[in-house]
Amino acid sequence: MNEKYSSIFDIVGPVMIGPSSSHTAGAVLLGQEASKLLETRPQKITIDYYESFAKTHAGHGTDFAIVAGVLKMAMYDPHLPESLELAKQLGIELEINELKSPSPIDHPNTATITLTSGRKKVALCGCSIGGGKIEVKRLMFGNHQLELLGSLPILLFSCSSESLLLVLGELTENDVVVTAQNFCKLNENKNLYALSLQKTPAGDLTNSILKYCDNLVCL
Amino acid sequence: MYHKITELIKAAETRQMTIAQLMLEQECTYSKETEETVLLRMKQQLAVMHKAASKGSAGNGVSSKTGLTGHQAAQLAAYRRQGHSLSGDTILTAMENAVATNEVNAAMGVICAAPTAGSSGTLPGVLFALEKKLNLDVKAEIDFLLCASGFGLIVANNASIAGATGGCQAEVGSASAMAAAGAVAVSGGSPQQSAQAFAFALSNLLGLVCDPVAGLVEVPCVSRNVVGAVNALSAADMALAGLVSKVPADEVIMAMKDVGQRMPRELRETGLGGLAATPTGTNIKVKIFGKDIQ
Repeated sequence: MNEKYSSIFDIVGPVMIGPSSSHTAGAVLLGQEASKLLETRPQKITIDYYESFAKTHAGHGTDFAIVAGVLKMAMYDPHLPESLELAKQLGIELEINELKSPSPIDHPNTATITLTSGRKKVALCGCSIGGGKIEVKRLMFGNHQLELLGSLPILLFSCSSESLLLVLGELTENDVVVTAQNFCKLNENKNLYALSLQKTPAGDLTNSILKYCDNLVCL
Repeated sequence: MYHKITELIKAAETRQMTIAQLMLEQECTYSKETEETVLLRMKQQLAVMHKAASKGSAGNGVSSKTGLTGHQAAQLAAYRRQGHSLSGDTILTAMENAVATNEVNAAMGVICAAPTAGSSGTLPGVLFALEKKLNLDVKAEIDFLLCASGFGLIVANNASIAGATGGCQAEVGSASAMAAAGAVAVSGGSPQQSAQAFAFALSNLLGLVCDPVAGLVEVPCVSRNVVGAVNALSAADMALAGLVSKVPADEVIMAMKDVGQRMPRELRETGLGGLAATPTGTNIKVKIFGKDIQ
């Protein structure tokens, strides 16, 4: 059995603004995760929708939900439905595309969120699997692409293959189980790594990992 | 972690514990939190449910931005108070709270998904009807939610709770089955009877499609939660009367998954089939979005 839901609060919860846990609450989370990939506020947000998301995003409030997530609003924030207005005031350009092609990650609730700021461009392709749970399947940093298994939490960082061993050692010492490892080459010495974890690591642990790597983000 | 309902029932029977106690124990193990913390958090979810249900039925109730849904919980409440309803006070109270919660959801208010937002009225509908009927205290209401979440986790991990994947049977069907199991538990039924109620409730909603008009979580979602709540109470009564489902609960879950996989995409939260594709459904979509967004 694939345990996508492990907490009783995945089932009785989340507390959220309606109308849809997959198309609204899950969409806020996709936006929040995408925003972690960029240090600054984006100048432009591009959303590509597939399948059910492409057909019903307008009715389910998926647009305001993703934008609210990118702006780091919480899924129970009563101002959530006003996020498109807020983005406009902040001068953020928004582009929405309804794609006719099937989801590149084989799920009916799929969105790719691309954030641009100056010359920096990052993208997150994920799906909302129901009840407010999401999976992140693909990340893009400029020309670099990283494929992921999906389940969160995922620890993202860049370092050499030698330093990776030190990071893994630090996680093991702190009883954090790594369930999957993915990477792509950044340059001669450095790779971008994504470690799927069983549980979100505590703050002091991520601080000690920072000794060995750069660009640490926990999705 | 319990992977199957048979495992959950067996653990409850051999350890002489309620399903609610088992789920509290499992959550503490998973989250490494104390029982007090987990119970407090569940109490908060319960408080959100109470608040949404009262908001939806107080005074004139609420209305969605599109005006498609709203004020019906208040209408039901007024009708119930006249005392001439066909289905009686408990059923009417369940209907009223289910509609109230989903109207608040459609109006983009704060709700607690259970297991989803589209099906968020079913559990409160059943729970608040039983609160009145059985004089449930907060502890009993939390037990109801703990028990229901145990069954919900098994459905979510073995099949699906998303309308886009499995149709409305995965949302309102799952919610109804969870509520039926919880209703049996707080009525003094055995864990085995909870499993029977769960099996009856889910079996009876197999094949339910997800066909939201204009892609909005309004029509028919609000009234589908009525059938979810009422079906849960009937299934709980069947189990409490000693009826046994011929197909066991775990197999019903697999049947729900199978039906979901065979369901055409038009009937899985795309707004392209069922009520959404009727002339009226299409007209509503054009009226709201100004064009046919297909």
